Amino acid sequence: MKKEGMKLDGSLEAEEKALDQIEMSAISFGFDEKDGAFARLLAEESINAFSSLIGINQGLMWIEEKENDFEIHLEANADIGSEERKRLIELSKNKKNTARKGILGKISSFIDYIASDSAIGDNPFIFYEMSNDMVIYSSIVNPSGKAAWSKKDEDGEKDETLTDIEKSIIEKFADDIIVSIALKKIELIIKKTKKNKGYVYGN
Amino acid sequence: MEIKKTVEGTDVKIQLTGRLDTITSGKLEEELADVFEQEQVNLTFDFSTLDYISSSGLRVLLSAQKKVNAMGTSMKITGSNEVIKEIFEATGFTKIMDLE
Repeated sequence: MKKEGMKLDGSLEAEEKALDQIEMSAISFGFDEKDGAFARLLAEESINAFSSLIGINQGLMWIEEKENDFEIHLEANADIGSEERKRLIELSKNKKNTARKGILGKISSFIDYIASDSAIGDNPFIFYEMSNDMVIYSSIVNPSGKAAWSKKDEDGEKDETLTDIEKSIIEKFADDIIVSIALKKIELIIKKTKKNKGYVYGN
Repeated sequence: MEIKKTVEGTDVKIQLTGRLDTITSGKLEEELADVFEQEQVNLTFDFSTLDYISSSGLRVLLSAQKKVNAMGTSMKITGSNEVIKEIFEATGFTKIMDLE
């Protein structure tokens, strides 16, 4: 079940409101207080990761609940460079761009291929398939693109140690991390799974 | 987040209540800037009423630890709950900070 999105405008007030909402949703989903706090932490660190890895601090966050999985989705619509793409993909568990299927996903895979020769995925025929789709693509893409997210203005010195802290937290507490980049659409999905507490019956 | 500070000579104790995160870490940073006006500081953080810490809070602690190291004094953290202990472990802070 997809829940209503929370707009992040780069302000601390919007972020706090979103994080409070995530923690409440996590408790309603069935997490105990400790896991509820970790869900909040994952949401906060995903916002921090977007900011530190790709320089974006505005966008949309929402929750999707699927059986035992509590998914935190963070979506941006912005142009990012090949280095930013690599950094974000590196955060995912499978180290791949899990772009959605279709023309935008294929084009995104092509961009990944140019940026890095390891991210093309498992389809050796992608360029052949893309050649057919490219004509359609050229007619549907609006180069100006409406930006739901904007790039961070200040570009202070990046501290690798601090980025590592965020990554360590996400990697430790998330059960899965999925990165999907399809042209300007950037999505980070952090999954936390409800664990079976393992009840013991009788002797 | 609430900050309660007590000073006895070079010993400074800071008790935090609530969450130390992106929203509140600036407040602690300001408080510590004031604390580090002193030439010598032995710093104790009381986390017994702190619920949660994120990377933004850890960054402030790391900065404080560096300053204390440069002074040749001490810094310790007491009373952390299970959530905070797990975050310290996940980030390797257990190896670089004195946690009681």
